[in-house]
Amino acid sequence: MSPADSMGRRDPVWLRALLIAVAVLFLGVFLFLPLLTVFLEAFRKGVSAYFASFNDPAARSAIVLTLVSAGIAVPCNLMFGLFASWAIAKFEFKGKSILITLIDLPFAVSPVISGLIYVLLFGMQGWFGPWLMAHHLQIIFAVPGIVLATVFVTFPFVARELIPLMQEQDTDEEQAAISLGASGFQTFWRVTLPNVKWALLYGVILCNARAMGEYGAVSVVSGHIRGKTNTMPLHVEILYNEYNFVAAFSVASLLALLALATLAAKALLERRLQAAPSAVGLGAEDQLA
Amino acid sequence: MSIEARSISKTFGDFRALRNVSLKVNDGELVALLGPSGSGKTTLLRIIAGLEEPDPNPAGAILFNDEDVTASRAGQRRVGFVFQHYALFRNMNVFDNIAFGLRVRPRRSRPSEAEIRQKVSELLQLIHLESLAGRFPSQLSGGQRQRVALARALAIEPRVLLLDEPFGALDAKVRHALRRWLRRLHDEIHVTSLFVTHDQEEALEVADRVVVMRDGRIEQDGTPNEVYHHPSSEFVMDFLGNVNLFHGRIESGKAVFGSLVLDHADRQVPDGRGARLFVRPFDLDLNREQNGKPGLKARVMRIQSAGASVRIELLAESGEALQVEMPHSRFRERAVAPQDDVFVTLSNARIFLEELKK
Repeated sequence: MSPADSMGRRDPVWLRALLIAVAVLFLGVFLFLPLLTVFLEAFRKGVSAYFASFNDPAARSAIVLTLVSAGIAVPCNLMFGLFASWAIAKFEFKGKSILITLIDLPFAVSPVISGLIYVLLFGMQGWFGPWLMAHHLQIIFAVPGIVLATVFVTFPFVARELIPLMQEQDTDEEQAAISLGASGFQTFWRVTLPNVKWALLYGVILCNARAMGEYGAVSVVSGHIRGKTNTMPLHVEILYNEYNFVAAFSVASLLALLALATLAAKALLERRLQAAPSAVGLGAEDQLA
Repeated sequence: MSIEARSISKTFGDFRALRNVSLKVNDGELVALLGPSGSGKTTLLRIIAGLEEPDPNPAGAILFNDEDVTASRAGQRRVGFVFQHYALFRNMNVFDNIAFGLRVRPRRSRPSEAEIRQKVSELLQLIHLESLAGRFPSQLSGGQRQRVALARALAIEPRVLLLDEPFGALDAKVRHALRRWLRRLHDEIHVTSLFVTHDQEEALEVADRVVVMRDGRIEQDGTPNEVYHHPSSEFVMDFLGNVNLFHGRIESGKAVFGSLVLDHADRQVPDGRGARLFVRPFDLDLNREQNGKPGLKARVMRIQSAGASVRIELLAESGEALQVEMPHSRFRERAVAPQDDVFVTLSNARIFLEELKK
């Protein structure tokens, strides 16, 4: 709160204290306490037990699978988000509003339902099930299904970040580039993309966090095969259900660390975006000196 | 390089932005497209630049030096376009903005980096911004941005220069300085230029020729003197500066506006047809007594003498509000004061007949 905000307020001290206490208590109970619990539980039996949890092949496989599915989903949605927002913000075409609605669909649908859709499409009893069987292709209860579900759930993140920014920037600079003789690709690469780079990075970070943390949709299509189709969140659940608390919380702590890193990166980017909304070019500040 | 637009029409949905417009800008000319918003002037400029396509039916054509460029894309026309809000690349500094048009050329025709540096520093000199090459657009004032936009457009050695409301977003003082600068610049480099403006003063001051537009059509095309002193229509007369307007009618070969009766040259006009009289504030004079010249009685309401000339507001006997403008020297001779009854005489009045209702 800035000094100017608080100066005009004449609320009694007890009220201010009460409100602050409520806020702190709320944050403490719902955010810090769980976070603390994760790390306390993970280290309950010492540092060596903590690291031993990651030596388990099943844990390693879960970590690898999470990285693989995020590694595929994030670039896919980066490309899709970039092109979709470019098309939506810079061009006029029929069906634009339908496209915008479709992009938001994964936000509106419960992740479990999204997973179920893939089961209904590619599962043994699904539409394409028999054909896939005949060609020895397995999607459901296998890695491709997990990747598909992750892509679907994290679909809107990049596009949603970029569309408002690109719309606000209008097409003036693109038209200037075109009139100066730039090709469509040069215009995109030299003008459009640099203007949205920070928002793009922001979208990617959010997309990545969700891709790694997704539970519902992945749970439905995974089949929970240990060492094969378990991602980190699924693995945590299995360990917990087996009363293997130290291992469960150790893996959970990795996800928590990821969340913290995401938050830190997000805060940093937000500051960057606010500090120089238009002159976000590198070294913009140096040039003033 | 001359520019020619031949019977260009443009429709946006139901709105007819341009109706069969033809225009020619001669080599080395600086021409203003003047009109109120919605008159189609910016649309015409954008069609010439290739940023907008004319309606295919009826087919029009854009020619540069008699070469048909209608089918070529904006980037191929080598047009320097200066956008109303500058449209500088916000992620590039001044230097890179100006160099952009050279750097995006295909490798075969692209100048070397040293040549680009040379060219950009020449342009920076031309716009007097050598010291700000490293600044980003957000760190420049409006006038500086405008000059960078112009240098960026000039960097590609355009065949023609097109400017969309180039001074529209600037404050009055900078606007005046910049338009004189643009005029001098044009006299130096002589690139055929067409600029859009809604500011009549700007058009009259800067341009060799003024093209007045209205509702998607060209209303008048002439030198600043012609359009100002010999407006072809009420619209042009009204748009190019303040006017006093009287409503009246034609009666036996005379134009009658209340107590004011003027000769009307065209004897063929039937009696009773409506007429309108336009006269500019400084074509009115004040007299203490009737001096034989046609005129009307009025009362002085308000005198505003701060400024280059004196502006006097009067109320005519017939009820119209009048504006008179005169130099300070004549005002001292006339020695009128508020509430004085005076006799207003006219020179240079223009009578326009009302359109006949069909």
